[in-house]
Amino acid sequence: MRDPYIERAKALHRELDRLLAAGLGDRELRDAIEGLEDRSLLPFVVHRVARGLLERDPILFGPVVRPRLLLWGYDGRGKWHRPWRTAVGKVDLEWLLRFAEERDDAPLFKAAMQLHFDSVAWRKRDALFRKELRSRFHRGLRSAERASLLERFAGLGHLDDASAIELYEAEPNLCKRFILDHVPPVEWDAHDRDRLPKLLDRTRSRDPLFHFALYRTTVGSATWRRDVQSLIEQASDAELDSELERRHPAAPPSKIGDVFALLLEKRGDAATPYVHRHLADTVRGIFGSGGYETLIDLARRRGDERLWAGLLRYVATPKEYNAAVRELVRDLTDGGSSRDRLLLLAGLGRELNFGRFSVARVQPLHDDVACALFDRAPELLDGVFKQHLFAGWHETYPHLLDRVLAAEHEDLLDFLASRFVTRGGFWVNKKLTVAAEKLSRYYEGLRRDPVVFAERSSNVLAQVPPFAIGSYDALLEGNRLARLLYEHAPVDYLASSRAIRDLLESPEIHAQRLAFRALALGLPSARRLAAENIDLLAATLLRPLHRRTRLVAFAALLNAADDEVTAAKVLSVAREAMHLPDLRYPKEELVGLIGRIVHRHAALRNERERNVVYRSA
Amino acid sequence: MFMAIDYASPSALQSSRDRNELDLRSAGDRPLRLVADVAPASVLPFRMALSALGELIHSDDRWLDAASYSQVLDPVVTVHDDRVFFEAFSRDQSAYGVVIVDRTVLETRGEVRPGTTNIDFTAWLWGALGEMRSSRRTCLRLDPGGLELQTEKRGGRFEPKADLPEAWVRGFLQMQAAAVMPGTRLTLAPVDLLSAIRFLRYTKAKISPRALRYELPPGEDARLIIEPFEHEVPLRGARHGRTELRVIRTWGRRRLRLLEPLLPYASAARVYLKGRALPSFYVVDLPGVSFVLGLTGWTTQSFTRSAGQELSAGLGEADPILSEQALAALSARQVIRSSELAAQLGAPVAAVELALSRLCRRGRATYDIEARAFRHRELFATPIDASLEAELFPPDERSAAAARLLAGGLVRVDGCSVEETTSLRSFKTPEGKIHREVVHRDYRVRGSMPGAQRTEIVVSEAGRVIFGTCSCAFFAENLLNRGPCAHMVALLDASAPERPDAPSSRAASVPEGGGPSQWHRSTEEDEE
Repeated sequence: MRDPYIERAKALHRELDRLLAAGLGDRELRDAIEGLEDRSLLPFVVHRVARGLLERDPILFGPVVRPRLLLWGYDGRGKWHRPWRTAVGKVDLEWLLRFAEERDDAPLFKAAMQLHFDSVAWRKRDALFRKELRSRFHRGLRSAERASLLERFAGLGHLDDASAIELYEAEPNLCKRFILDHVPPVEWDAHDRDRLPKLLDRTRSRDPLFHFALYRTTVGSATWRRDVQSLIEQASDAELDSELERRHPAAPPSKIGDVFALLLEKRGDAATPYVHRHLADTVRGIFGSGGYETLIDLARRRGDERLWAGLLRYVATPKEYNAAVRELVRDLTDGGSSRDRLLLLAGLGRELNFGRFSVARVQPLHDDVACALFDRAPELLDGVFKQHLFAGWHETYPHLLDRVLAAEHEDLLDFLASRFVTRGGFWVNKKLTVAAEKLSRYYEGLRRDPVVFAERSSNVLAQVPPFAIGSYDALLEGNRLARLLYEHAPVDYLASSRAIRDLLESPEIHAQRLAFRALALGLPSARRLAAENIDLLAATLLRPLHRRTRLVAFAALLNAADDEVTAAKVLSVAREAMHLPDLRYPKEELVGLIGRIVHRHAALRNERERNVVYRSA
Repeated sequence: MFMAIDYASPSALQSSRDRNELDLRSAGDRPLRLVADVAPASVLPFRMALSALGELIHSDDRWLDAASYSQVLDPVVTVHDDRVFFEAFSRDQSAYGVVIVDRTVLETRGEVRPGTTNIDFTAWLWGALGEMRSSRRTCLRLDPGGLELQTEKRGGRFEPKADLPEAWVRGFLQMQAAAVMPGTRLTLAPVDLLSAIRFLRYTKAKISPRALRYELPPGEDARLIIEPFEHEVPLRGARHGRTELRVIRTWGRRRLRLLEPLLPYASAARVYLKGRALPSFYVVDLPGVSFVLGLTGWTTQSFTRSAGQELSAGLGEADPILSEQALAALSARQVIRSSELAAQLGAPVAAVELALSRLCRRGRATYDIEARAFRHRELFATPIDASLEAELFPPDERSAAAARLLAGGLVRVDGCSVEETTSLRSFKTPEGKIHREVVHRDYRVRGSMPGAQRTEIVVSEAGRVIFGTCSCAFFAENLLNRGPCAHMVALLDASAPERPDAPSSRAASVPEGGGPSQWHRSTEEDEE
């Protein structure tokens, strides 16, 4: 099939040729190029004109050319090729490199050098990077010139021992950061091997601070293990911790747990702070436990409960974690140590923060373990272990639910309901919807007493985390409990002012919408409660809400504006909301709300809202 | 690593149908304690303010890089007789937040031990805050916990044994220098600030200029202009008392979104502007709780790096005896104005302010921007000494030399010419597409002074030196690799009055026959 872009590329080549031949001034030419109809293909054709444009005016055309230098492009006949590998391209590239160096234009130099590296095979690029760097980094350069050179080469490749030593020997202070940033990567089959071993040797006594910074970045696991072994044998208790710390690898090696175990076995308390500090580095591999088994055996033997609990929460698989909890629950007796040890196993595990996202790992309890814990110590399951109940695809807690329902443990029931009420849709384990159905029958039974139902249901919905519901419509279709709590009974929530307040304060928008719907009903109790909660309702005028939700909130606000004082509060915020520049804000409906309120309370009309009656003169 | 903190047990929120218990675990080596019930009317504002602080702690406007995977730094809490306040930095260290809880909304139980410490604030806790309800009795508990509590409540933490980097510490201390600077205070209607934030939410400017321009015309309320759209937000009731037009531009406006969830519930808002491209502070009042947001001049400038060096350069040598006396007075009263302290100690106000500023730099005091007073706050369990202070604030010879030249009136500005580059741009706004002629200005400033017969700098609109030459030896050796020389810094300061803030775009009409292709689409990502 013919590439649909070929004709466009050919047309763009023709258009560029026409512009260059038109005798335009530099500025007009720049504007004309930037204003081209089909600019999106410009990066694939700019190689033909890059040199010419930069020769005309590097300042004006630099921003046009620099970000658009690519390895591949279309030639004038629409052929897809590597333009910088052609004879003309090579000459142009050489000129570009020289030009960028003369002008000390680091971004242009980097872009051109990337094109230059493309001339060799992938594995040989680092060698070419080093050759180009060393050929320029001769001893005749001044310090400032060397700094510029390193800036130009930053991020383009990796150093080897010889080149790193050459840089370090020439100007250590200037090059240390560059060396640390350009150490060779770990090869997949050589994790044990040190990188830059000669430079490490050379800096050991001359520059200990840099040596250990380099050590932490480049040390292979074999050397590190050997060094730890020698520290175990030679370092005093006072210096052990700091010596271990300054050798701790930046990227923890595999099976680090074995090394920790060795340390604890041989040096005991002196090594404990270091091991505790780096416990989170113990990670299970795909083919092994990362030394977990050795370490947890040792923790048990030494009676180091903090380490034992940390390993179970951070490193153990859910199966191992549940086995440990099961064993402790079995041994639970009044006043025994099992309870204390059990408590140590509750809580968060590993926490990861990257960018604006944060994830915390919590070990999930299995159904049988949760049942056992509920039987022996329900206050623990309802307390610190509540966060370990994670209803999802793998675990649906059918037996626990039966037991909790039978025992009518209200707090746990509400918590479990808050987890099951959000599970629905095609991809959900059908056992979850069965559990939701069981719970819906229980909550339906509570409707006999509207106050109890309102407070219990709002307690369920209050525990639903924000954004836990993906598709609300799919949820309603597949989850009977959700239908009951969210859709069937808004009027029931009016029985309890506390329930309404809880729903309004919920960070979950569907719970809030439920409260708006209840407060929008044409009942005296709805009007009274709406007025009581005017502080939260008025804020909805200024919050970003979906149109559907906002219209329900408007209706609730109209209910709230029954008396003149509350109406004045609503009006003042509503008039301010008119000035918000929000897209899709239903301003017509907002005007309607204001109109209805001022119709109801004529005294609140401002000058422009008063009726004007025109009579013939 | 500067110092390490360790928590005996993790912070947690335990909520049941009748109670919220917010247990915030402080560092083990600090003797702080506060157990109090929060007044029902302030529970929701407290929750919202803490959630906003959580958002700030996890916010990061940099592109993802290796540093983005670093650990989150926990907030610092201080208990005073009149307030409890939580302070934190964003992950990119360009934003600083404080939640101030009035002690009148806290009904304390048992002994209260005032003090300062780090608290464990996990992402999990941040999420769990949403479970707090004003209908439930809400208890705030601040204490170190300890082994006893660890076994009584839940398992200990391993990761939060956080290493506080020097940069973080320096940022905290630089923050004080920024707050103490004189500036302009504007009282705003919350909805006006919200209106500006919403406009930015729906209108993305992908190219420069992207400043917020505060205009303070004499005899009128201040107004806020959003560049490059020149969208004006009138700041109703923002009185300022200026007798001539004053314009202040700040960058990195996207960070204001941190205030967005609070403003619909706010009773008042204030902004403290320190000057062009200098830090600014926004205060939002909620019932019983205030939230203060401090922003650096622009996003890539962080409080922990270069931002502070210039700010603290002016500090002179404080009298050590006066510093000791000031510390003793602060310890006794917790909060005091410099004028009051000067009267109490019988010393000149300037000397007292210098001593107090020095205490701020040593982490022993903090400046309350709202009360314009200094507060006692021991940031470290062991106060830093002079040598560590020197390590944290290495003397900047160039700034000092520039200050000497300026103080001696030795800097001569020979000329300041503006170089304008204009381009036609189309922007999408809520009202539809608008066309504007965007003006990029660079100021070329020439001058001379002792040690440099000819100095020339090109200054961007944000007040940054983007290019320069000088006849001094420092420039000959380093070019601009180590930043501008002392003469360039002095010339930059001396030429400030000659570089006014002018509108960054003009209205433009569509040229005849010009279709969309004649316009630059706003797709290029420029540096702010």
